[in-house]
Amino acid sequence: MTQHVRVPNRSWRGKQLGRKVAAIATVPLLLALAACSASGAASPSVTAAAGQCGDVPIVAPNDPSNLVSSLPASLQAGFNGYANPLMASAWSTFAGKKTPLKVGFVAIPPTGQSNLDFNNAVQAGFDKAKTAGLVTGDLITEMPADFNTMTPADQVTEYNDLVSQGVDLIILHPLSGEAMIPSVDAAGAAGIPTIAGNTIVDSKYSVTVASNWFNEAAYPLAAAAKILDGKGNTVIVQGAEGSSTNTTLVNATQSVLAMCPGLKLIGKVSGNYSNSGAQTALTTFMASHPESIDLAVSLGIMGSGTYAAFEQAGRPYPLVADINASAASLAYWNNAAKATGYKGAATSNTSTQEGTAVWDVAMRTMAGEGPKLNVVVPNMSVISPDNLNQFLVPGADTSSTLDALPSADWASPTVIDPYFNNPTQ
Amino acid sequence: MTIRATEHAPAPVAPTTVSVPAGRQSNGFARLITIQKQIPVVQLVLLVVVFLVGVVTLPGFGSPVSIASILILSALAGLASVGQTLVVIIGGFDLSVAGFIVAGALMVTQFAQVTGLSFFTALLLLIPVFLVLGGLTGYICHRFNVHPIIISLAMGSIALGLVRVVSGTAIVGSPPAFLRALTSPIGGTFGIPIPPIVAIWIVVAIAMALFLHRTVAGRKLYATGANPRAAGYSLVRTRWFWVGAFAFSGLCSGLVGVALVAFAGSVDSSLGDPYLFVSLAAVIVGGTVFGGPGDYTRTIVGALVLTTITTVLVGYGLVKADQQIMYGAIILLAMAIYGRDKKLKDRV
Repeated sequence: MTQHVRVPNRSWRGKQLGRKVAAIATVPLLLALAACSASGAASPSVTAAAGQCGDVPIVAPNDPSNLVSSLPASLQAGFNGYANPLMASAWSTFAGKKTPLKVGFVAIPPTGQSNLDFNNAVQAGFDKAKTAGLVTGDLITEMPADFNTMTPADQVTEYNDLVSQGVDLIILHPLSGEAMIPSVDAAGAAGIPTIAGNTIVDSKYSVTVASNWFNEAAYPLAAAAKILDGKGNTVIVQGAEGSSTNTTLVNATQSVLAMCPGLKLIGKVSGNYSNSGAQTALTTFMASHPESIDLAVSLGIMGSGTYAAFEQAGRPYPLVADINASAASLAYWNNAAKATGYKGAATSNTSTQEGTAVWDVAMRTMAGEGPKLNVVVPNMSVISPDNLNQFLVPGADTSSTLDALPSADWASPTVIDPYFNNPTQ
Repeated sequence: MTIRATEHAPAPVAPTTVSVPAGRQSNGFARLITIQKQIPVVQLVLLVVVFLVGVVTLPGFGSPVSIASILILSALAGLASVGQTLVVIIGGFDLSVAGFIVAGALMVTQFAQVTGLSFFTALLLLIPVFLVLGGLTGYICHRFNVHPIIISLAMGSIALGLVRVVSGTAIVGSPPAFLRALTSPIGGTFGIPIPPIVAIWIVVAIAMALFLHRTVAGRKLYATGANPRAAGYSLVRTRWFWVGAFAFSGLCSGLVGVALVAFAGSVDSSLGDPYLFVSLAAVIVGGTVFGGPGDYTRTIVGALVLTTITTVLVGYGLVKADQQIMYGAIILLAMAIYGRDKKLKDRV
């Protein structure tokens, strides 16, 4: 066998090395460019609202038709800072449909306890309605096999498949609310209502049961600012950068911080709504930020990862403003409260409550109760040191995968009734 | 004519460098290139420079806890790259890493809980299962001459699916309490102030160096990647090395899943996602190229470079998007240095 060994000549090699040196020289340039990008991203996009540090900023909702005024005063505060455009529901005068109904469900694969609880709650609602003769057949569930590879396009396909199967009603757990709008509009025009949960679909043909994410972040953070007397270093643990929910949560956080000049924002990390992601990001952050961190704002189901990062690093817990707290994150809080008198701040809503409320709103809509708006905003559950015990799951420790205990009035009939023109329950 | 390979044939020597004619060695640039091919000098310099920049400009960056945190994150990335290094040396790459990591984490948590197995029993069960699944990837790729990009991706999905059939559809689970100490920056190993996961990484690094450079199997592995046909003519059973490398990669990914669940405290579906990219990036940045040359020591340097740069960038307030740009730029830089080299198989 002939062997060919190529030895480059001198000039070629010199040229090659020149290219390598040039490539190496680009690193500082890229570092500088990236630094410029970062300094721009760090500037707050929300201006300071009137009020004192520790107050919740009052921001008008995105309500061009002044629809919120049709709700009782007790519910109007729930729309503070509401970012998505509020619309009058296309089903406000809908007479309903004759039962039994054929129901479809576009679900997200149960990759974690939350999605599993949501799916189970919808199924439980269906089973109960079937016993009452309100629905027929099985709940036609469309769900990709794998969350990590699913896309909004998959859900659009599944949704359209349910429409072609002739369902009377579609329950939707959207991956992306924006992606679903054209399909929801088309189905609505054909007389098929969509009831969505957790993620808002900006369509007059859907009714979404979801928290007002502005308030969900602003209330616990304002409480945290009060506990800290408006002073300290702050780090924000974001979910998925770029998503509309995350943007609303970050804006709310920055609007509270803007009223507290003593609360210095020293950084933002991204946990991608995963405790492991939050812990990795915070561990990296702390390796280059040895200074005291007094406040960590966890923007959605990453509370236990936030606590764990500080625990593993051997650093004292900051005050964690824990949006959408879990049984594990509240266990961290409770343990620290017993040991050191630690005080936290949090909000909570459970997926079981969400799924149950979605089914309730669906049955009300199909019974002709007439939803007023395209959204139903449940009653926010703010957790403070005074009511922490009400939300602790008995026996749950810091490795629990469960939700916190639900609040009794999160989506009770008292809360839901005013969102309908003809409530009969 | 068919040449049948046997394991008793003399092993080819791993060609890790290409000799340069003596007359040219006086050239400083040529010498630099030759050294770079033997030792990842550029990466080591970059690592030292970035670290020093961090120490000088970021107060407390050089503190023991900060260094321990960097080492733990590097160890997780480095351990996720162990199998990938072998797979890259034989000329493939393994996209099943993320799936095997989540499957491994589920196996010792939710799977163990559902089946009533103890943590250690589930861990023992993990070893043969993941070896077989990983090995199957290598077998299929070699037997049917299929590129690993699809097969390995599919096998990661199959591994996760198989575990979920038993453990339930939800990806949840938490590790036993004692496991959390594995990845604690303030933890120690047998009284020595080194986090256990870092100690494990050191042991693995030594074992890998011995295997690749001091064993016949290691040299045959290089020969398989450098030129499979020539290796076959040298009586190396290249299929066994494909099966072995992918089996080892599957096992390593599963075990990294166990370490990650210890680190994170719970399993979620995205647990392995970052490590798919990092496992490959650490290998490439370290200077191991597809089909060789390269070794795990280079991967260690790659993992340290990536983690240290990320940590310093975070220290400067750079957000995730900036970090992604930097990751891409560093990989481009690595490819600029190594990607233009002729593959060893073209030189043999």
